[in-house]
Amino acid sequence: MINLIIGNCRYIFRSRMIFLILIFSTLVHVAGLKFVSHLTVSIQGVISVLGPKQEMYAALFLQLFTGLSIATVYGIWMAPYAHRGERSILTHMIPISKYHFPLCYLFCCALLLAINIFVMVVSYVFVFGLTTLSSPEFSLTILAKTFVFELISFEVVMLGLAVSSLSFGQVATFFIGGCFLFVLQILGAIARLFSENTELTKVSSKGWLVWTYEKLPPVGDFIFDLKTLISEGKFNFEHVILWTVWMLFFVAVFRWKIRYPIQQRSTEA
Amino acid sequence: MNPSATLVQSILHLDKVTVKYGFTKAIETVSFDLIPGMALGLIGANGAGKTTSIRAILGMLGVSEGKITIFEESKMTPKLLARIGFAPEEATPPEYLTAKEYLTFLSKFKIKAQESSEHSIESLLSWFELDPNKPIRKYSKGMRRRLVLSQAFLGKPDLIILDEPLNGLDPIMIQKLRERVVESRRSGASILYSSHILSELENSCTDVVMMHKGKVVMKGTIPALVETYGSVEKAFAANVGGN
Repeated sequence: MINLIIGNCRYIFRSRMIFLILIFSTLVHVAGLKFVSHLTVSIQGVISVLGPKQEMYAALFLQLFTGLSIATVYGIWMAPYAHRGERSILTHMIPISKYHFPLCYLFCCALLLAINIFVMVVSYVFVFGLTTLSSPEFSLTILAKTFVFELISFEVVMLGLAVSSLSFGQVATFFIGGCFLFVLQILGAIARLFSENTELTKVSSKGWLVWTYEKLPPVGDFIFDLKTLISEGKFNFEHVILWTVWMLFFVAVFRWKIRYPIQQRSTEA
Repeated sequence: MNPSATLVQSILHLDKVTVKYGFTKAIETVSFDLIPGMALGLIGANGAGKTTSIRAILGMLGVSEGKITIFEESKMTPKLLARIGFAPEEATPPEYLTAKEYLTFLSKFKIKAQESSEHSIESLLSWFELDPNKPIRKYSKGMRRRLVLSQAFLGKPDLIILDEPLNGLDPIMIQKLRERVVESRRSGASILYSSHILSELENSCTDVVMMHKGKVVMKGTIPALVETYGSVEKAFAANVGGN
């Protein structure tokens, strides 16, 4: 397993993925936080600047964008690399349990996301100064909890996209994955609307729609869960469990997909 | 087929194996044995079912009917894979590595002792005349082919399976591969060798299995075939067709 992880880390390094993450993530965080540092809030005519907590919210939301991008690229292009086309035959011959592969990819993706978090913290310090970290409003515990929550969610997205990439090809997955996440967001909004509006709960279609949504990865609730986590420091354990169940499901499906070498589609690079 | 196959414990045993692609039977009731020290040549025209048979043996395809036993196990496991060296007909090693890095990576799964691993890698790279530190993406087609062949011999496997190994090799390398096959067989490994080039099989193998349209049409030892037909080529023409 360790050898597989080392091999995969070498691939990440040689493919220049690591440098792309550092550059892309630093640019997004520094530019975004610079913008936030110049924002002012006007409440009843009183103009004030944002506090460390709001600045940290902003940093974490920027981090969502870069983290999701990393999970997407890793899931669609990097995780399936060894399991597609002619290469898959040689990978199949490596004498290890096929379960080691998805577990290795989970670990390596977590490593990339950790680097992304590190870049976020460095960018935050660069823009707002080191003293903001010692501010009583800044909580390292909440930051750690947010990282854990994002990590689980992004790992599910990564593995889901990797499974789709192995099944339908990379280009198709890029669009299918985008549509799927978008549909889940819409479903999340609709489900919220139903649950908050008692009139609408009488609509007969509500039952199956909400039931279905509740079983899918809670993408539509992700932002709300994160908001609750940052402001109150509380996990939505129901959703954490659901994300974890989907992660285990995708590990099993990935293992099942690589049971035989996968022939490359003619349209794929 | 060598009559001793039934007496000595088979390393590989195919018992009426059928593999289907959808509703089409790619191979049908294929049976043969491979015993220690044997070099078995799989002969057949394109589409005869040689590669399908190999893939079924290595657990890369589901078997519809029949049974495959390797090292007395009927299910392919990592432990079994560690005892098998396989050079597929077409394969691309990871381009971001060098040849040495690739073999070192594989050796970590196949060879236990670090010292013997390094020795084995260097000797293979030198035998197959590969530049150890050149990235694989800069390798020519022939060099990639040699690298794929070299990894099949890594860790001195008990069973070596070569699928059309001569494709893309120059005459010198063909000669060297022949020597390598003979050497491996002498050191106790069994070889399953699939090829179109009948004269090469006659030189490298002890036994042959002829396949045609997914079925085994003939099997026997090379000396017996030569004695009966004059050459493997003539035996092939008599049983499969052609001049």
